[in-house]
This record gives sequence, C-alpha cells and structure tokens, in this order.
Amino acid sequence: MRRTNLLIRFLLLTLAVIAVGCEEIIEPKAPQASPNAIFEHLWTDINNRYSFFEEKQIDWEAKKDIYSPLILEDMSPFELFDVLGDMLAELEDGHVNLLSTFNRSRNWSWYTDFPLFFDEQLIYDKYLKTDYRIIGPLHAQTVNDILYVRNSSFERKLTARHMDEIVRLMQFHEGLIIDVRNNGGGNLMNAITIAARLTDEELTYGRQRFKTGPGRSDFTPWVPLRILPHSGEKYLGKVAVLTNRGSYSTTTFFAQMINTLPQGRLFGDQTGGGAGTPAYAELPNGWTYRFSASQVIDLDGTQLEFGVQVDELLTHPTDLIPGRDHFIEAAINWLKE
Amino acid sequence: MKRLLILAFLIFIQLLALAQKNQRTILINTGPQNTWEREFAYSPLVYKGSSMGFTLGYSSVGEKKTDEVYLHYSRLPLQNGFNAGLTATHASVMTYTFYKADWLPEKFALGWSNNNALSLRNFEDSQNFNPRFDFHTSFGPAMRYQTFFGNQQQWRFSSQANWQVIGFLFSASYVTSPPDAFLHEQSTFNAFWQSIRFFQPFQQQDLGILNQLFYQLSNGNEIGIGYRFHYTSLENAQRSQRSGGHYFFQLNFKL
Repeated sequence: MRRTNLLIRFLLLTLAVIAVGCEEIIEPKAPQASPNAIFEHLWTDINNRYSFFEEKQIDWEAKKDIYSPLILEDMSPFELFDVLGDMLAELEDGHVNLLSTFNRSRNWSWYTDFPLFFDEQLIYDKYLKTDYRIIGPLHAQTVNDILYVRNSSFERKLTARHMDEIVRLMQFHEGLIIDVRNNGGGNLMNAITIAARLTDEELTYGRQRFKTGPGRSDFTPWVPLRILPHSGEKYLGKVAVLTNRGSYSTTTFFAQMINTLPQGRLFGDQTGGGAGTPAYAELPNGWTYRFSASQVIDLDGTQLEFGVQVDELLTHPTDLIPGRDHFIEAAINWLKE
Repeated sequence: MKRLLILAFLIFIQLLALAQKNQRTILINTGPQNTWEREFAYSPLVYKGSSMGFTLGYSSVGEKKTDEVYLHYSRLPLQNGFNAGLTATHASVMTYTFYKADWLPEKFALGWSNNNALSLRNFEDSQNFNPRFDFHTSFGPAMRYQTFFGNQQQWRFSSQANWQVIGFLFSASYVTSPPDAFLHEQSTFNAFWQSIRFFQPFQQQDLGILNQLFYQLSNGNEIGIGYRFHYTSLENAQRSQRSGGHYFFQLNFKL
C-alpha cells in the first residue's frame, strides 16, 4: 500500500514537473488578418513612423479617406496588394515598398521621370574597354591619364585592400573620376570606406535624426554624420564624381560626402535622393513593408531626401557630345585644368 | 540620482543575501526549450520555436534561509506562421532568496527574487535596425513549496514562483536598435543613464515558475528533471512579449 502511494505521488509530481506547458497556454492568438485589419495596421504604422510627411506635404489622413473605401472584406490578396501598394506609392519614396511572395510595390518616379544620361554600352566601349581592372566591386581604367572608376552599386563589400589599390594607382594618374550614375545604393560603410581615403581631416557632411514617436515632430536631436580619415595611405588630389537621378540612397550620402571635400566636385545631374534610412516591418498576413524612418540634412539644413545638387549641371541638350560621355569629358577637362 | 540610489540599495541587499554561507550546491542543466516571442516594433505576429537551453546555478541552503542563483542561456531559431525567421537570444541571471518563517507551513518558504534578463531579436527579413533588444533588472516576491519523500526521503520535489514588480528597463528605441540617447553625441554612461526606464508594476510584467524533481544519490549529489517557465511583457518605446518553457535534466553537486 505504501509503495503504491509512493508511486502515485511520484507520478503526479513528475507530471506536474514536465507536463505543464504554460508557455503554450498563454501564447497570444494570431492577429486579425482581414483586409480591413491589414489596411488599418499599415496605415497606422506609416502614420506613426514615416519621417517625411511634412517635408513632402503629404496629408496622410486624406490618403486614408481615398483608399479606405477601396478595401473590401471579400477582395483577393492580389487586389488588396494593389490598393495598399498604391497608397504607399503616394509617399513618392524609393525606400517605401510592400513585399509579398508575388510582387513588390514601388514608386520609382525619382528617376523614371528624368533622363539618366548614362549609356553603359558607351562607357564600356569607349572608356573601360575590355582590359579594365576589376578591384572588388570597382571597375577601373586609365582615360587620358585620369583614373576612371565605375562603381555601379554599394551593395558589395568594398575593403581597405581595394582602396589601397585605388590609392596606389593614383600615383600614376593626374586625377580621379568616380562614376556612381545608376548606383541605387547599398551599404553606407562602403561609401565611407571610399571617402575616408580622400580626406586627411575629420569632416562633417550632414546631420541625421530618427523618429522617436508618432507625432510629426517626434525626432531625436540632429546627430552629425562624419567621415574619419583612414589611418593609412590616402589620395588627396582632385576627385570628380559623376551622378544622375539614378544615384540613390547610399549614393546620395556618398555625393554629399564628396560635396564637403574641398577637392571634390560633382558632375552631371542631381542624385535621386533617398536619405531616409528604411525601417522594416510586417503585416498580420505575413507581407512585409519598409519605409523611411529618419531624415538627413546637409550643412545648410537642406533635406537630402530630394537629392544632392551637382557643382556642374550637365543636363542641357547642348551639353551632349555625340559618341562620347559628356559627364566624363567634363570631368576630365576639370581634372586637367 | 534617485534612481541610482534605489539601484545601489537593491544591489546591496542582493550582495548581503549572497554572502551567507551554508550547504552549497552547484547545478547544471540542459534540455529543450520552447519559446514564443512578439515584438510590436516589427510585427504583430508571434514567432515561436524550440532549441536547447542551458543553465548553470548555485544554491546556498541554511536552516532558515536559502539563496539561489541561475545563469540561463538559450539561442533559438523562431518562425512565424508564414515561415519568416527570427533568431532569439536569451540570457538571464535569476536569483531567489527564500525564508522559512515560523508561521508558514513547513513545506513553504517565502522570499524575493531578482531577474536580470537580456533578450536579442534578429529578424531575418529586416535589413536595418537589427537586433531589437531589451534588458531588464527587476525585483519581486517569490514563493516556494518543497517536499521530501521516499523511504529515506531521497526524493525531493520543489515548485517555486516569482513575480517581478519593480526595477529598471533598457531597450531598443522606437525605430532604431540602440536607444535614442545613444544616437546623440555624449558619453556612453550618460546615454545609458538617459535610456533607463522604470520597470513599473502592471505596465511591465515578468513572472516565472520553476518545478523540479530530484533523486539524491548516495554521495549526496542529486539528479533530476525540471520545467522552468517564464513570461515577460515589456512596454518602453515599443512593446515586446515573450514566454518560454525549458524542460531540463539537471545535476546538482554538493560542495
């Protein structure tokens, strides 16, 4: 009898120890994923955390009035996606997207509405040719004793060794051209890696602030954005950077870094902007979205979201040179002066 | 300054408690841990999954007073219902101090607990502002039930619970990973100080249960199994919630 009691007691206690999955009992229910709930979630989060409503003079409440009636409880996911994508497109921001398994909404008017003045075939035929150097993500070639460097993206890692090679090559060249046209951005560290080789003193190139709350003016104080000079070899001669409306996001930051260099000069067309760092979030139905959650201004207080202006604007039809890239030619002329 | 004094006072009490010397034991346990997590700054969806959890602990048992310290670590690959991933890292230092009051039934002890818990959340689909995180150090009451049974009282079952009611919270900001104060140009200490928030009763919640069953070996050491449950809900710039159940096998070594 005593053994039986002991056994029962043992079994009950064992059960108490291991069979109490409290974490499963209190697990929250999945949020409502109806079209209306998804719309409300997206509209509210953008309302609370998007950073450029005032600068772009967007009445987000009015957008709700426009798009909310288009949400129907029996609409298909494809229809819902289109309505939500159209609503987000009102922000006219390349850092705003809705992502599903079947599509990605976007507004690329920051470059599609403008000529790009960039013919890749011409660049490779006339300037880079076939024997250009491939230095990490950079393509480099000597053009009239100038080192022409094409950087099509800041996505790929640019290392100190890559920049060591660029700086070494500059011993044999009279000037440097960095072509970042149609560079849609990437990792800001790659832009800093280049700029840090072009200065021997600390430079403040802009100021940044982040959203801190749902109010339109809920931001952190402005924080300086700086370039710290590389401790090793540097190139401190003239630098021409070529930009166009397709130069976006990190490339806008890079253009602004060059803007602050005393020996730097921007050629071509203004950048496309994209200075708001995108934050990512998820909807109740598993779709994700991103949106700008910060602002950057230059040293004069101008928002970089709308692009960095160039020193030498080359968008007039009379600037064009048949059979040549007039951005590169203008840069060479300046570097040869 | 007021917050600093309160923190110093609570830490002082904690150190006093640990300074007592009695029957001392080192424990180690491991086993599967189920966890769910929800971080409203990124998603209203629950992420859940399982992995192994590890705990290293120490206890000091006296006639009237027991002190325990548990260092727990787990790294868990979690998924939501749409197969999006989140890597969650949890680390905590949990202490209990129990007193056997004369007016309490023999098998019960009352006391207090201190939880110092860090949670890191890396959302795989979020390319910026990872990881989201929170750290809290909090204090609250604890209760324990313990019974011995078997022919030679070689079996021991204990169940203890804690509820954290007051403390401090340090967590990711409204948008960015570091708290806002770390984005300003100032010393790390100042930034840290400005980022601390009160862990307020009913606004922040943290509670746990620890059930254990041990068999004492002839050399005085113990082997056993257990289940550790915790639930945390923190509200700062954003709200985060998590809960986990750790099923473990444990070895206790008497010192």
